[in-house]
Amino acid sequence: MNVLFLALGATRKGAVSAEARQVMAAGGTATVLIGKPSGWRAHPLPDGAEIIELKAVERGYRPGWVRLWLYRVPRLLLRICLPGPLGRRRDRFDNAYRRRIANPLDRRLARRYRRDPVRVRRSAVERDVLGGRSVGLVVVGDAQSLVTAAELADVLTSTGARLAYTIDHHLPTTTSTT
Amino acid sequence: MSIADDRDVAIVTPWYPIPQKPFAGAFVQAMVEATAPGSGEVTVYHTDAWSAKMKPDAVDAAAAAHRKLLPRALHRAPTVAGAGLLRVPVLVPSGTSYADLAGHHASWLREALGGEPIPAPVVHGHVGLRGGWTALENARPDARVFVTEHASFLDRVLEQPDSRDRYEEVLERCTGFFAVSEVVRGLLAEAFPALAGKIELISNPISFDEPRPRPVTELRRWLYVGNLIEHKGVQLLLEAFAKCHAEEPGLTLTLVGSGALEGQLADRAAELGIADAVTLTGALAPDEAMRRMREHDLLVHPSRGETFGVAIVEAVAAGLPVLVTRCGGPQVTLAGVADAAGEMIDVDDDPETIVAGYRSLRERFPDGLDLPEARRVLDERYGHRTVADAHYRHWFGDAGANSGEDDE
Repeated sequence: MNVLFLALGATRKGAVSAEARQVMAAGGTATVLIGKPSGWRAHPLPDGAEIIELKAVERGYRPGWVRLWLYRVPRLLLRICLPGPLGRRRDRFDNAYRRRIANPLDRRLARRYRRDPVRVRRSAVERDVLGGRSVGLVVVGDAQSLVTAAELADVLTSTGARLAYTIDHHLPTTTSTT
Repeated sequence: MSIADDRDVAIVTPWYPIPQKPFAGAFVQAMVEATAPGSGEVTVYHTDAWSAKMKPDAVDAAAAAHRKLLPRALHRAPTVAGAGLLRVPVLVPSGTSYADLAGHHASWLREALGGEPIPAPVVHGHVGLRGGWTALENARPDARVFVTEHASFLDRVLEQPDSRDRYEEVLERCTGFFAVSEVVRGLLAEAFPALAGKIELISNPISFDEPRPRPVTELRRWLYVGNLIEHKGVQLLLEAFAKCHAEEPGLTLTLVGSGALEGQLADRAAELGIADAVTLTGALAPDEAMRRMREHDLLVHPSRGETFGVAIVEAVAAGLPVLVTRCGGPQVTLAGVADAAGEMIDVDDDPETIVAGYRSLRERFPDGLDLPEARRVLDERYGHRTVADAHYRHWFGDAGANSGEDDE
């Protein structure tokens, strides 16, 4: 079972860490989406848990059409115009193009495509958090993650994952003492 | 709303073991394990407090999101003895009294139930306010509601005027009210003399099902089980152990539990030169703690105050002699079998008291003790069967399934 924990507030660090450890002990993977990394410095997550910072994912997000027309197509054209042996010159052109044209243009476009932060978050999480991870369960780990979980509920469950507050119903945490 | 069977039971509790805190609410889990076999469908509603120390508008947004998520994210999970478990996150803003806390627990359980009452005809809350009030506020109008008080911090609850008033209301409204020890009953009787007659005694159930494979033959491997906090006297225990270890280098001490003193105790053990003889395991699940009891020779419990002393009775159940302080609960739980079970010592701040207690116990061991007899008597008092039957009498008005199904 691959489990994604939403722990943006770091207010239930012990509970999230213990459940992540239990998931990994049962042979699954634990990915923890966090807010500020500083919140976890004193109580780091268990070894083996993958940590993703939501803000970093959001910062790195660009819509598909921006990535295509502003970055991929120009790079392809450079490869065609300056093939193999001219690689070093191509890289110089590419860097200059990104620095002087693509990035400033992206910043201007971002004012439009980042106007709706929830939409950005949904797309960023769908592509960079859920993409390729085959998540089966999403655990809302603290009170500060509830709003994000509700905003992203459709995206989080779009691949068949279930939403939960604990891993209990997949990995019961209490066993009989008899 | 589903149709409930006459013997269906709902348990409402703010504490239930979680991976992070396997000890939290272990007594509630033990009660479920003891009583579920003679009941219909048993559902545990664990209202789990989640810190919501946020700005007021952020708290409102989180609450709205929580309401939206509850129908999709709340799932019934299996727990002990075939019972079901629903963990309901309760958003708790900062700076609330126990009465306010109870209000939060009650309202979030109502949200989780979709505004419907708990379907079971018998509802049992653990802890007067967060469990008892929550049970009363969410039970069917015709349900029989019972409450068990365990809290060792009851005096602090009763110091708050609003909490005291709400507590009195719980006592008045519930069908039956139980305290797990005379200490708890005494506190409540003093606070609410007009309702004292309503408070009965039913202890936490202890499992006596698995005795140790071989009896204890020497008092070499010491064990402590509980929180590593000052109130439990663990620093005194470490100092006393160092003195005894100097005389008997073969002694070992295992400290099972977690708490604020964990690091200090490890450092002090190193300073005393006994680090190799002292093991700190951290918190362990109840099953594992019981297993450790069967692997040790002596339970030392130097607490400053206990309302019951579950670990002490569990130790006797595991065939372990005990060295315990007269700190309230243990005098009652071990009444009549204290000498057979081990040694009792006074509560003071001198490690020598523990050392002297150990020496006295060592001189009497094994012939001056009668561990099988102590075990038999405590099983009759606190065993699953006894506690379950007491619950069945109150819940269903009969002697319970235990007495009918497998009488010997």
